Amino acid sequence: MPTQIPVMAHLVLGYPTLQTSIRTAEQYIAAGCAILELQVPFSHPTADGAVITEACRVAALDQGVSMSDCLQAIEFLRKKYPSQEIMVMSYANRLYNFGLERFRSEMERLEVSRLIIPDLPVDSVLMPASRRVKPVPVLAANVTDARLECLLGLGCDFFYLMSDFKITGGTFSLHPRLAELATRIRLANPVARIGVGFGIETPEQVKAVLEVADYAIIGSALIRAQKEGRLDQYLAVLKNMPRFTTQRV
Amino acid sequence: MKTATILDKIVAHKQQEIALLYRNYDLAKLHQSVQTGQGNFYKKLADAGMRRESFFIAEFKRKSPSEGWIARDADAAEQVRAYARAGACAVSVLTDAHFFGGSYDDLRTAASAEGRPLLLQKDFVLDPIQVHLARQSGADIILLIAAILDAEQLKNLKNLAESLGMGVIVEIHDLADFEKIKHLDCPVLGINNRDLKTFRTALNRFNFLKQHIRAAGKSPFLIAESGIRDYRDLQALKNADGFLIGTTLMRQAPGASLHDLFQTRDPRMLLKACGIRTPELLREETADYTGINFSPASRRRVDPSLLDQGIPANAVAVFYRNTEKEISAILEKYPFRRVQLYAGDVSPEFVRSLRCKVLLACRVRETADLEALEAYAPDVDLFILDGAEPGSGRRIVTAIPADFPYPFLLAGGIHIGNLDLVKKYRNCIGADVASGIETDGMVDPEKVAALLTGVQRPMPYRTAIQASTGYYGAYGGCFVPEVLLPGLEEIAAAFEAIKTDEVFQRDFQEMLQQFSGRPTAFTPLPRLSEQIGGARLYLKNEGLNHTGAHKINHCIGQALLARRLGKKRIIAETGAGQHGYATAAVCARLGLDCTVYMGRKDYERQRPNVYWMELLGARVVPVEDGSQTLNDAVIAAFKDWVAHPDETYYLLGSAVGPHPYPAMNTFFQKMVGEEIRRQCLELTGRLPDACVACVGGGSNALGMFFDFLDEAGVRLIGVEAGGHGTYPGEHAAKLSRGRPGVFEGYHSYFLQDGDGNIAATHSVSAGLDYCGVSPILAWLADVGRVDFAVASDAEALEAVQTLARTEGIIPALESAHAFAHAFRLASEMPPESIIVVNASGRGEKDLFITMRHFQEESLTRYARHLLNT
Repeated sequence: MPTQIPVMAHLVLGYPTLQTSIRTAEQYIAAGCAILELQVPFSHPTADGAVITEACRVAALDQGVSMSDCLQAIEFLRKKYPSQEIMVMSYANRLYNFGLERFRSEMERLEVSRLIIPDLPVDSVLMPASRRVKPVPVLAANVTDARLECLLGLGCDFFYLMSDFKITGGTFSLHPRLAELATRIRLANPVARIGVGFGIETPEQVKAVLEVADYAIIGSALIRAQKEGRLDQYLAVLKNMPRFTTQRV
Repeated sequence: MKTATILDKIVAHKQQEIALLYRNYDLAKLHQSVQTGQGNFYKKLADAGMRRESFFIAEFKRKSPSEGWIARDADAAEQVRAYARAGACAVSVLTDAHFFGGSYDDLRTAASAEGRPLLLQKDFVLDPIQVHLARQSGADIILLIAAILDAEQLKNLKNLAESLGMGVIVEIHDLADFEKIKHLDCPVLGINNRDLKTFRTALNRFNFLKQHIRAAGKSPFLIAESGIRDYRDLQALKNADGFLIGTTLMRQAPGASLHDLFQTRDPRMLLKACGIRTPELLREETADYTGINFSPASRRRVDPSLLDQGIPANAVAVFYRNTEKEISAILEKYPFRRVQLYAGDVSPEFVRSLRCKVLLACRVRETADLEALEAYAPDVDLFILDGAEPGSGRRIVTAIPADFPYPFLLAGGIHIGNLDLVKKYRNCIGADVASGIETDGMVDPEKVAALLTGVQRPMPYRTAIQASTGYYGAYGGCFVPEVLLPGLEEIAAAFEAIKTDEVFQRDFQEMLQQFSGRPTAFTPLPRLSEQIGGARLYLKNEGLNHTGAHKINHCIGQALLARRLGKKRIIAETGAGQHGYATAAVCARLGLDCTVYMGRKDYERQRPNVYWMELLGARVVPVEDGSQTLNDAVIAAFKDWVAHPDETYYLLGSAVGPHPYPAMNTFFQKMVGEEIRRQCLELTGRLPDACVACVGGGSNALGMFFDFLDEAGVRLIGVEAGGHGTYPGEHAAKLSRGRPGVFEGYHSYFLQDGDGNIAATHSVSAGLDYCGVSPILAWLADVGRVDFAVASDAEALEAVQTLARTEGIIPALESAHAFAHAFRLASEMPPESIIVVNASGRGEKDLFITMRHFQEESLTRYARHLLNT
């Protein structure tokens, strides 16, 4: 079992090109990122910040990356790295347009572990999840007790927490009530995994996040590093983070 | 030699009676002593129409030639009081003694009853002395029967009655009657479903005559008379303004509410369960009608011994490919109240020979098949429009036009999954289901029960929208990040609460009046109508609102809601700037902090509105992301809300977005249609034939349409922006050219590419330049209640000029799309029809856009002048 770093690395499929994005994914895997979060690009990513929005527009509109392009890329990575945990992230209209049932069965076939669809509440009628491909709720500190109980009751066991009330890629801060939220989740479900994302860049921030979470979710910072030609250095910094062993769930 | 009909006999007898009256009374003295009535019948009828209430005239009748004695010893005063309690708007009292057992004493007794409603004297009126006696005995309304009077007599008697302060119902029962009264001014016509020669009733006679009355360009109030026994019959007469009901009510226990008895409060679809052949389903509770099949061609043919236990009132004997002789023999043995016949199987003469109610079915293979029904139309009670092969479960009902003129049940392949089809047709009143209630060829009681619940559930459109938890058919919903759910739930709960909160409603109304200047004007457009040469055009001038458009209606509503929630900070998105401008004004008025997001491109090209907003103290934030237009502003506003969920209220600017915004903005805009209803009735005496509104997101269209959604006679048409082409990026016609999708929190129609990426849009009017449309309109489009059309940039610009020059009103470019289509529509509609267009905004805001088109040079000169000074 390879040792991994507790990082969930996000990338936009098709940015800047499909081939480059696949190579980037392989770099993340080589760096030991525990989870690969692959975003199927949508022209209007309503919950993403400027960096990811721009990447999505390039991939979806300029590169014209289709759903089948994305599925082929995922299939390539799945076959080459059978034990790598892969999550897929996108927006409702891309899946709706492809066909929800069809998307669900493709996700199962590709052994994608989780779906992150920010504009679909996990229990929404349109969520194309199944027992094998579970949906990930994206929560912030304002989640109500009733809603949290409902999500736990639905069997959610991976929680994506927003570091603070903001969109991806802004300046980092950790909401004071986040630790309490993580504790509430762990008390209710001891095996639940928790990732914290939105605005994480520096090793110090990663450390701070890992105080409360199992994974630091990094997206915009990776894209910025790649754009500025310093991805290798940035990944090297992440690699020097304390390691931990994990296994695919 | 002509044999004397019952009517001839009555008239002959009546003439003798009149001779007697002249012996007992002095007409001149009577005329001097009689007091003028104050009944206000016409106004009360109009008021009931405005409240959408059925105007019931309940009849006091002791006997009739067709029924014999019904209630020989009844007390008129007591009966009138019972009718009043039951909700009758008027009571009809027979004064004919010989044939109906009535008297002027009965009328006087009725008039003495405390709290009585209006009184109608029902008699065979031939002479002025009867009119005087009616008034003297307390009548507020009299009935004049066209069949027994000539046009001159009718006119004189009607004028006399009206001069005595009474209302008049002129009763017709066939086309000859209508020809006779066509040129008289009759505010109220009674349509007697009874053939006065044979005394047989047929409910569709009403609908048949209504067709001819409308075709002649007349639109009086129409009262349906005779043959109304139960709620099913009332549904077949749903296009009537009022109902005169006699025998049925005299036989009822007194006091039962008419609205309950006839189920008028929540009109719903009817269910006919066909092919019933087991005793446990041969019951009243099974469905509104149960079909008992006698067809030799059907595997559902019944064993007649089933009927030995009796025939329930809802049972219909179904004949298909039976001979007329067979049918008569079976009906002789089994006295069904209703039969179902197929149009090709029997002749109209045979139908006229039957004494039971007739449901006439037609196999509709092509629209031409429906033409054959005209010959039967005045003599049947209801139509059933069926697929080509009855009982096969195959559906080919697409040949039925959405505006088939007679009420009907839809048959052929209906099941629980496609029940909504019934809503596609203006006059469809229910579903007739056979294979859809079977499992393995046998009737499945569970399926029958499920369908019955199914037909009971489809609510009137308005109720469905108001009671919705966010879904309209498959559309709507609340597809947003979890972080926004608490905020949206808070708003949804507050919205539910304010719907019935009197204090909130009072504040809302007060601010609409005092701040925005409601109600807005309703303006006839006579010069324009004449120029087009078709329907009469009217406009609702929402542009007279403060800040120049309808947007302020929902801004006031939402800002008051935000204040109620204790929110101090308002955010909003805006495209053209109209919603932002209205939001900024309302926030300034209420002392709320206001931030408006606007795409950079819009920010630059709508600079005057940016200036207004800033002058009103709002912070206007240009959005640099994406295409820098409305979409990006919406997303920026959502992101702001994600970052400040607790203290911020997102004041969304159309009937789009996640629940509750579509329902809430519709609710805060619906006064537009309510005002139109009132103003149109006041000005023209009736409702419009068509309402036309432009559609960007849908707030002004829903505001106009909502109040008319359940008025089957009012066509509703949304006009989308056709831009300058049909390729993606050249237009903004979502419902005409888009596909379903999920975006910005809701499921609806969107303009998108093949991969589901949101497409660019274009319209000369910034307010229509948006990729999505209200989920409520998406649903209403799918079920066929609202039609959609497209008008181009060029047509809209031309409409601005046309309206400006003929009527002195400059509409906003958005609204001009509605006018462009209304002009086309008007030229296709007859001159007596009424089209109302929603002028959602005024055109001053478009100064620089329209000026560039109409007077580019003078704009350039002005710009230079400004720069140089």
